[in-house]
Amino acid sequence: MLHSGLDMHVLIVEDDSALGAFLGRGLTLDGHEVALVADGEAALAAAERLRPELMILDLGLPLKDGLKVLTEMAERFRSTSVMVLTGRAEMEERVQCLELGADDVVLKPFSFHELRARLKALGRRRRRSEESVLRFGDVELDRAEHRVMQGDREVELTATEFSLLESLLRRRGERVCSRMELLREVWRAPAGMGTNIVEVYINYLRRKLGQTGLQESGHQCLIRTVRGAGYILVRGGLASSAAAWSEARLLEQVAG
Amino acid sequence: MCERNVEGEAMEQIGRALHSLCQPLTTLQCRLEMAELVCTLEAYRESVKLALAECGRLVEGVESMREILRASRVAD
Repeated sequence: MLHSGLDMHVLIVEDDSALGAFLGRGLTLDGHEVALVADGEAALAAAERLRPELMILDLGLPLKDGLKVLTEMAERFRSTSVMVLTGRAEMEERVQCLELGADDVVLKPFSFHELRARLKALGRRRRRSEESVLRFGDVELDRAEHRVMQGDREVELTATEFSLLESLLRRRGERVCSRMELLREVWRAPAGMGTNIVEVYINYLRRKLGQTGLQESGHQCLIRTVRGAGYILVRGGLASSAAAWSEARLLEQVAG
Repeated sequence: MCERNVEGEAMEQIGRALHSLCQPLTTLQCRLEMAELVCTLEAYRESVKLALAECGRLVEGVESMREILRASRVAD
């Protein structure tokens, strides 16, 4: 299957193990990073830990009902888009979901083609709504002006370095960015290509951002290596929240 | 009045049974579509195997709906 270029971190909340496993596998093949949980309480715990871009939420869940999960998601995790899956045909329920904060509602049974298309549309809406200026710590990247500032100093970057920094900044220090993700996003490279080039460019960026390891201030934007997982932005050497995505991969759960 | 209650209860049960058919039906449809997308012999084989399992769940669902209808006719 082809990657859309809009790959997201997706948390699937589905208590039907066959459907959950299938969705996980299909979306992984599509290039998304996927985690799977099977009840409402686990859904909120995983949202806290993983900070996904998208939650696919079944309504009929054990331990905590899907509508309650949806309400809490809207209150606590506004940056996560929620797509609700429901087998109940009542229009009132679909309206209620949208009013509670769902970004989309899909009625079961649905086609995988339709689900993929809706996911892409959600991804496009998310990208469009992202601000044109990305900030983290002392670094500010202006997409429209194609300019990077560190404090009051302008940082000269090549197009590749700019794109690499943009990919890291989009995660806002909330998620580890794997080398494979960076290869796809920055170099548009196919799976299987070596990742050495990522390390080389990360080092270029670190040098240009004056990250020597000797002069870290509390506010400075740093690129930290997470062993075996990738890179994450941190402020002044303080570790950020989510190094957990690589541990939460669905395929590991399915294999187990 | 009593007749209407029996009918209403049966409708409610059928509604629930229809709802529970949605899970295996979604899985079945999506699995077959994905096999078509991946388009390898292995994917087809795996999908046929899993699709048969989902068909089993669908048959159970249809059986339970038949049972509800039978019970409501007896009550009539």
